Amino acid sequence: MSNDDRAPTAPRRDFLGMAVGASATAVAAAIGYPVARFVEPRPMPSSGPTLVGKVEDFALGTGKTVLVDEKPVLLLRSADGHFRAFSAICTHLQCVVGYSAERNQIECPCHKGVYSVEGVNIAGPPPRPLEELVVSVREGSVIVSEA
Amino acid sequence: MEGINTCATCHATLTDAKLRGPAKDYVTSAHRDERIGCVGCHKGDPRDPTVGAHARALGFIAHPAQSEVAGICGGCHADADFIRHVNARLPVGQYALYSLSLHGRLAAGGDERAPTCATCHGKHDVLPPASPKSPVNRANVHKLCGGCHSDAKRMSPYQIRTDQLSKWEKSVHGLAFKKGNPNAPTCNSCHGAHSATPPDASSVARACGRCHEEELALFEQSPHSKGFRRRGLAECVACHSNHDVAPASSLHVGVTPDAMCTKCHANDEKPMKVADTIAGLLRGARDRSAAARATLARARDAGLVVPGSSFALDQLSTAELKLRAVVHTLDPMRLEAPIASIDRAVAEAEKLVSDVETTRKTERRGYYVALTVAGLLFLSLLLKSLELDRRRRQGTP
Amino acid sequence: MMGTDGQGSSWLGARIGWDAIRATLSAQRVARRNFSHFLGGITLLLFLLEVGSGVLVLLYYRPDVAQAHASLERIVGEVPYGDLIRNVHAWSSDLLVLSLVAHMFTVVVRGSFRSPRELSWWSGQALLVLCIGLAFTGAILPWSQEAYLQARVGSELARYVPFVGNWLHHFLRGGDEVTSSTLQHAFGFHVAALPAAVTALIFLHLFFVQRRAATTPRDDDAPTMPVYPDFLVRQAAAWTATFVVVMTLAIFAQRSVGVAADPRLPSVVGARPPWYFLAFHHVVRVAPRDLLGMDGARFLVAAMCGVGLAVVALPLLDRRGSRLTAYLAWIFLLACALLSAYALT
Repeated sequence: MSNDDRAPTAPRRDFLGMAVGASATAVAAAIGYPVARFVEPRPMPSSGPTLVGKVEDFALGTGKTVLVDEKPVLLLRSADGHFRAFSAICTHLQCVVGYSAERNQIECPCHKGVYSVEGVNIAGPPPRPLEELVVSVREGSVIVSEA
Repeated sequence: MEGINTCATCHATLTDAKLRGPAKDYVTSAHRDERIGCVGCHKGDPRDPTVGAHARALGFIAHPAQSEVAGICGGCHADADFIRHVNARLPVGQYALYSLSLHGRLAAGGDERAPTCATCHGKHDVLPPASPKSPVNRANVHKLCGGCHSDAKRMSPYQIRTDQLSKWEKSVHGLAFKKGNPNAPTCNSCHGAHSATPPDASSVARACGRCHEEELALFEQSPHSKGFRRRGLAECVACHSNHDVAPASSLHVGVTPDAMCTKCHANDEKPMKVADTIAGLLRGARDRSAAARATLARARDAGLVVPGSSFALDQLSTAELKLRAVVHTLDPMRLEAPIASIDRAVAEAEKLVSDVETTRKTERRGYYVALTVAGLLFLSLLLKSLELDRRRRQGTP
Repeated sequence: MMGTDGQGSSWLGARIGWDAIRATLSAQRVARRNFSHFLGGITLLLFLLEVGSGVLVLLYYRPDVAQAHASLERIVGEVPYGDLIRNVHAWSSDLLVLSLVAHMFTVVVRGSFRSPRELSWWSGQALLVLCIGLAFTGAILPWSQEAYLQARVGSELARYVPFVGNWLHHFLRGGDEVTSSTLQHAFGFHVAALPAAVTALIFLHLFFVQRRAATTPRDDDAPTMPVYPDFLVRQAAAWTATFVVVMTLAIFAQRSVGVAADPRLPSVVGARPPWYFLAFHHVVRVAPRDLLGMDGARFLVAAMCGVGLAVVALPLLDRRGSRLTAYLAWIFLLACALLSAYALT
């Protein structure tokens, strides 16, 4: 009795089975497409120029890592008070770099990559200079924006 | 003397309402302070519980004359040393300002109808202006001024108009005031309070410019500024009127007979040409921003969430305000920048909506595709089950 | 759709032992019946849709009073197909409760709860309670004015439940007041604890149903069909139809996201509870302040808990699945429908 539908295949039945399979696949695709589009990560809207602090928050001859659009940015202030900002992401394998005051250079702790205070890769594995950002000072506020 | 005020204790027991009332009003007034007391104004001797307290020899004044009132109030309120001890937050310049005002000069000249301090602030029941019950409170001051200035009979000797209050109530200022806008001007915002003097043709722009700074600055760069001064025209008022100032958007810049410009320039070729140009630019900008607003409203009514729409609307309003201010220069070239920013805001708003609508349309198309394939699946499953039934009926157990 | 021809085994079939599975399923027989037979399966599909769409919404939703509503607006307004997925989630939840109640109703009317199927009945009751919990917590998450109000009123009414009221009130609010911790609490239960519990219970429910197939006392001699393929093909058709209904509602009857909750604003005028509480809402609204010496609302909540307990105890109260129970169920349904209709006017 359990085998009662093991009858010889009729062409009509074959056709129905195929129709069910094909339309079920199509329905799955109709569900899958919007889901795939929905899941696709959205670009982060850039918040534009970012206020990172007051001039006096940054001592002369130091470097401080601040966040711009949720990404780390190394803000250097030279001994004569000038600001420069670099993306603090190493061009080698994306570690976060830091400023070393005693050697006056930017260092990546992961693989001993070294950049000058101009952001130029001078030693170790980094293949490219650090990406530079634009710093402007307005009424005592330090503002960093994408180049 | 301090702390003893037999005036109030005795007067409170009197049966004549005229004599008892002041003693009652006084205890809730701003002057209830014991350092002021009844004697502060009426003089006499508050320690004497008998009729002797009212002796003329003590300087007692039962009913100060209208012309005396300001002097009595000023006796304390213009005394910086005294005021500093009683309530250091109070100003002391009111008496001086009042003496210079039209009200003060009329009163000093013996006009019994001219208002003095008590006319506006109240007598025994005088309250601080911050009190909502005070007649000079911001919420009440238009009723106070209008009480006299809307009274045609009272104003007839001075031959001035009496429609200021009713005009103000319908003006853009009055409507904003009614809506509770804390910046909306009421009578004293332009006319001053103690120094109440009507601004004349040369000073009206100062009154308006206190709030409408940008418009005034731009107006002063226009050919109107000099021309009005030469002809003695009241600057802002010439076009905007005063008490019944209308919303700027309903002012007609243009060459039609009802347009403001036609009032003076109907026969001047060049000004009419400028007016026509400006009117055309304004009309275009107005129509475009109205269309953008309508598009956003339609999208909202259709249940679409348009991200960034409130920001786009703010941008649009800001650009429109800027444009309205620049009109005062009467320079069509200077209208270009604000019109460009209006157009940018309009384009931004319309793009936001069209993006959402495109998405919506794509979704609808996708829906019909999905509906078709789901329908096919349903149909084939149905046929399949019928097929199974049919085969079962045909013999297999 | 695989292996329906049954001719030998496919590559996959050989590896999962398809022939044996197929033989078991074909040997199981269920009564040939009308639409009501597919309600359990439809409920299951709706739950799966809820899980699927819920997992997706979770990618962008932020459970934080300051960001929850804005993140929902972003899902609906900015993310591609976000409005579709959010509306599938919202509509499936209503349809899920609807099909659960309909499923339960047909079981009562047919007397299928009777011994020896008590365990199927009780696991089903537990699922109903958990799904209402999911609906309640889910309604809080948009953190709109309506959501805020619903969190407030719903948890306030829970206070009147006899014996456990105060604890329940505190529990539903995740504290004494409706605050950010209410949202956090509701979020945790909605996305983790409750779905996990429902999933486990669904397996248990299916197991119980399977062990004591839910035939009715009154049509034991009715014609039957094998579960595979006859029943499953029909069930698949019912699933497809359900899918079309959800999709159509999600496209053409989009649900408002409301305005962000602001406790300083006055409550929404004419706010209503979800539709399955409308009847109760109406009774509470028209009931006198005092009933039998008790506070009106307290009395009604207690009475509803009493009805709930009686429903749970149904297999013990009515061991044979009598027709009287079926009539009572119809009367109760009609009364609820009438009261709900009144509540809407």
